[in-house]
Amino acid sequence: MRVGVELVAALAVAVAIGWALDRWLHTMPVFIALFVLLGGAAGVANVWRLMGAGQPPGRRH
Amino acid sequence: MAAEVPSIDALGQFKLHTVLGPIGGSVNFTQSNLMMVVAGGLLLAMLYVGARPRAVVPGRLQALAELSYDFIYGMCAEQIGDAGKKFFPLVFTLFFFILFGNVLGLLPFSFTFTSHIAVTAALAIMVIVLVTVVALAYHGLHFFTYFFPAGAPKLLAPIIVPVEIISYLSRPVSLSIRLFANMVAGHVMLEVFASFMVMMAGALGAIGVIGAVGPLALNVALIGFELLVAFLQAYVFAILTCIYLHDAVHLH
Repeated sequence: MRVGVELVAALAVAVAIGWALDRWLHTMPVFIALFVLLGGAAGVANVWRLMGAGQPPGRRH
Repeated sequence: MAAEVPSIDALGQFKLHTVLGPIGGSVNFTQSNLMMVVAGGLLLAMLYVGARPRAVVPGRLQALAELSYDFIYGMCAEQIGDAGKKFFPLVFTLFFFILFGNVLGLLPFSFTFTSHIAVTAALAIMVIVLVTVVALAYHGLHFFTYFFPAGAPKLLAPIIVPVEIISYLSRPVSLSIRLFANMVAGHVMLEVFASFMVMMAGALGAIGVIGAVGPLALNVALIGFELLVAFLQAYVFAILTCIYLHDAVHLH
């Protein structure tokens, strides 16, 4: 549940940013396509941090 | 529910309606607001009545108040560090407001205000705005180095910076959706199994009444599970607030 929420939340934020940028600059598919990729990456980064990877063992959650 | 074709109205329980008659109606005071007031009042009463005796050997209610104080105080000190003491009132209020909302929602005829995304999103946005303000106050413009971890190759900056910004902005989204989705899912499950019970008894007569014991047993187990979820989600919300505050105070 937590992992899924993290992935979806990052993707949703990224798509919202991409869609808004496209609407503003009238470049419909460009930014949304770019930000879907970035959103996926951000979601994976969130899960990576959630699992406590890349941190000293004292501060794991 | 008593219609000729029985149907399951699992989401009707989340509908808002005004309470307190015409006075509540004119200011849109809904049962959700009422439950928030009840939760806040109960929390204040628990602390006031609990702390009043000031006994050296605490009674039951005083022990409850002191244990809850210690629990959140320890969480703040452990997660945020020394600066965490400043944020103790915030984390304490958040944890107990959400906990009371979740648990009060399990009582019959009451309402779970944390099952509305408007409520959880407002709480999450409050937390994230506070975290950003705290980070800016502690580090000034140095805060923006948070979006580019030290030691990463400069070539990757065009990828890392947007990813970090999206990751930062997704915090309030995941924080609010997690709490709201858990509450909605639990209450929908309870409603669905309760409807099965009524439908079975209505459709099959005496055999149905015996068969309805199955969903009833499941609901009893689910209520226990929901109590666990109610506590766990309040805890998760509070500890994530602490972790975000730790990041704000210490940057990485």
